[in-house]
Amino acid sequence: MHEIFLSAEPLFFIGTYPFTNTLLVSVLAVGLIAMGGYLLQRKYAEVPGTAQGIVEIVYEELVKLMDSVLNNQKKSEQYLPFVATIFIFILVSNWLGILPGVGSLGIEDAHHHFTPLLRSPASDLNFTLALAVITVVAVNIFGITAMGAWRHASRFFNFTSPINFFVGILEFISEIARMISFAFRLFGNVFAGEVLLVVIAFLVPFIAPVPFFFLEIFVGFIQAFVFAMLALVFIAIATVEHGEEH
Amino acid sequence: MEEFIKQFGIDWRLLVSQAVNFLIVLTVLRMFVYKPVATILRERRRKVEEGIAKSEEADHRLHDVQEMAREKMRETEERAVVLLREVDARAKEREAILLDSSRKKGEVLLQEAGKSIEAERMKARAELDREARTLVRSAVVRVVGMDAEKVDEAMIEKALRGAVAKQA
Repeated sequence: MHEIFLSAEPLFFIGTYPFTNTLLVSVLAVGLIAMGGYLLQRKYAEVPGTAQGIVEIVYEELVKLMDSVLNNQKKSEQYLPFVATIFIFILVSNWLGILPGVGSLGIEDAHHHFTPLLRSPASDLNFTLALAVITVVAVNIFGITAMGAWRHASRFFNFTSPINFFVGILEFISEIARMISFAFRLFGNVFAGEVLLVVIAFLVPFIAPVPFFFLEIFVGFIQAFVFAMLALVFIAIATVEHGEEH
Repeated sequence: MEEFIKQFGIDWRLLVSQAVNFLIVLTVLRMFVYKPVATILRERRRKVEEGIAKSEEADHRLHDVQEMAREKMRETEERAVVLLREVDARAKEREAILLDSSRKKGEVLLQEAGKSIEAERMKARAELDREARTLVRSAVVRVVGMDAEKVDEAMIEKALRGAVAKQA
């Protein structure tokens, strides 16, 4: 069984920039999604084909789901690209991470140190942290555009009463906690899945890992969904006026 | 903290790279999927709503037209009944006029026929009278042996009258 590292392994360096195996899979995911989007876009028609029909159904169902949280279809359509992209990017990355060859194909150096060529992007904290930072920043930008900078800032800096001031500080801390929880939830689940698959494949190489692959397919989907739904809920909180909440 | 960052391999350049990857995906999907699909769905919704509105309008128009047709039909039927009554009345008037005219013509014809028959009768009578005179003359000539030229016209007249009176 090859060693398991918390950090992603660099495949090569461009100057001092480490090109890691997780970054490679992430780039592959980007390419795959872009290709899919491009191929889909070429076939758009008034009467939809199978692929377009599926995309339209998913789009409409996602709008309905977002509507149930935001209670506003215009808002749902406005924030859908962000939420849907989080979901699609994480889902594709997670599912690419359990394809055969990922984790098993790699480079062995002179010291018999094995470096996997491909590794699930979400098993690298850089990936999950980047998404968490983007999400928290985007949520705040959405809050500012929806309610205005002053009103949005008043959530964090409120001097109307000592309690509100304290609540503002808590809100500020919760933004950072949110970022960390976002990053570590996804990282922890996917990394644990990777470790589980490696251990099971080491202990019983045949048949036994199959249920765990199915489990990882499910976990990959659920984690992408959870990340996207949490982002949606935070958007809803940030873009709804305080008085509107109840 | 440094140990933590080292253990997890956190590198701001990798963070930026992953963030850029996400933004590329967002841009691509926005360009190729979200916007076109939203436009298609909006357009389709608009067309469906327009279609429903047109269909409702068509239903209303059809209902109006049917109502109008029923009204026209009713009016036409009423007019037809009135016309039929008028025609019937006129026909009866015409029939009466024709009957009257026929009767008058018939009477005239009858009168003319009567006159004609009378004339014929008179003519026949005159002829018969003339022939009777001739016969009486020749009978008298044969019986008496007289010259036909000498038979008196007054005698013939008398004989004829006597014969006629006997026959009567």
